[in-house]
Amino acid sequence: MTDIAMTTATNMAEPAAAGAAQRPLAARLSVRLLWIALSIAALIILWQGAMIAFKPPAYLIPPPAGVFNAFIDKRAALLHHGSYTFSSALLGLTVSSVFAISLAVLFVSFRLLAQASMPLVIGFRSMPAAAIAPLITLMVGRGVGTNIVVVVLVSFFPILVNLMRGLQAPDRSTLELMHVYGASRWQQIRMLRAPFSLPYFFTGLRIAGANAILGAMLAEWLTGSRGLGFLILESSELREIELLWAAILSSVTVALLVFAATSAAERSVLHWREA
Amino acid sequence: MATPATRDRLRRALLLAAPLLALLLALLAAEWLTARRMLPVVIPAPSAVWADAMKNPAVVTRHLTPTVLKAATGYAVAAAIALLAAAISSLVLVLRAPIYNLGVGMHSVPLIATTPLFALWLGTGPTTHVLVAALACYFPMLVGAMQGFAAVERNHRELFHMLSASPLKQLRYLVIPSALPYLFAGFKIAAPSAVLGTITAEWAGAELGLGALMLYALGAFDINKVWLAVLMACALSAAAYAFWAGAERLVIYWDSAAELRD
Repeated sequence: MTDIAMTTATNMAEPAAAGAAQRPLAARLSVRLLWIALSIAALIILWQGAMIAFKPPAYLIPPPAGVFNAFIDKRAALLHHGSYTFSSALLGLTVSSVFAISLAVLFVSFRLLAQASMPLVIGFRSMPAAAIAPLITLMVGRGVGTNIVVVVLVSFFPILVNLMRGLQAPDRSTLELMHVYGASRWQQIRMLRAPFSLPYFFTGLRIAGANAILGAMLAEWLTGSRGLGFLILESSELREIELLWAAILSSVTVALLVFAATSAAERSVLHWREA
Repeated sequence: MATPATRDRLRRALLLAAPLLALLLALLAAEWLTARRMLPVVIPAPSAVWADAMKNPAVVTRHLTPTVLKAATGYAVAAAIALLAAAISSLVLVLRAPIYNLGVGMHSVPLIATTPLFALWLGTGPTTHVLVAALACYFPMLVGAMQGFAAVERNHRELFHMLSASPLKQLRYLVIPSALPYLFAGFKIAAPSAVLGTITAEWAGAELGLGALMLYALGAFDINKVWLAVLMACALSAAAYAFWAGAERLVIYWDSAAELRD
């Protein structure tokens, strides 16, 4: 279901990006940053206005100033836990990308292998992460290992599935052309299938990136040692509401950062697609 | 010589049997290996897990029942809201984009981050669990319903118009049949998410439930119970998916399953 949301998000972003492509990069970036800053300011004003209008008790919704203070006072803790979550998500994402790419290339090169192992892959894919995370905790322990394994599990399949689709995307005539020129299997992959698969790969990577942050926080929630997931759970249990909100906002920021990073990577690699 | 039809049937039977066979083999291997102490301690023998469950079946029912009930309630609430929102958006076209964007926006807020907030606002009772379950699973149903209600083909609609079918007849013979494949696609994907949402919410605080059982067992390092809880959670979400897949087979005899587009 995340797939649907992600593809929709990109589809809706596309016309805007196409229109902005004519302007220079710096101007585009500053306009976008201005929009982001403006919408954040509007949200804060709305929040403060609601606080003044409805006067909810502080345990329900803390005032923006309080959350801001929590950001300042607890910046060391937030940075520590946030960077832990971010780096374990990124590490897991790297591992699963490497796995997924090599497996996809293998599957495309050897049809029989793909047919034999696809049911297995689908079986693994339908295993719910929230359900098996306790098992991984049991096997790998309560350290960073569990984080990474859970992240790999939730981010591997979107990349693999999309990459497989991409590697099979070249149409028949181009494949036949390669055949006529006597291209080897490797040349066929390097010159034809790989470039064709890149857009699909990045779609998979974007979905995987969102899953990765969720998976990391899920694991941290369960292992209860470090990371934003742990901080959110702990501050809610200790009723440190301002810190809780600061941690939630940090986690959303981290998720957006990963999304932005994958999108930026896509744009820098797929520059030839903009035309 | 086998006719193509029987060969096809045989192939399908094999495809169905292969995963079951693999599962059986894995169970036997685990049993054999644990008997010889060749597996790490965190992997118990399947028979030990089974014996643990049978020793105290009340534990199973006590934790399984609330999770099933809460997941089903959350699923039903989400389905009702998704169908209503999709119906409104297909009747009032101006509202289509806002409803869809609201759905996407709510879906992109990570539930793991916000569940503690709900626990804080509503307490750690069943209300929170049902709410999180509903939030975890509404999105595919909303997408499926919105696409389904918009899936009537132009030609078909014109035919009904020419035959001057009443609105009720249009609904019965045109709108619902063309929407069903999409509805089922959404309902099917959403079912396991409801189970997972419930379990996640139970992690944030619950007395009973599969999520609570997982946390207790992990804390006590009760390996058999951890496996029992995990297997029950997997079985439950698989059963929820299988229920809708089976219903789809029964209801939509005329068409193969629809793929949800973005």
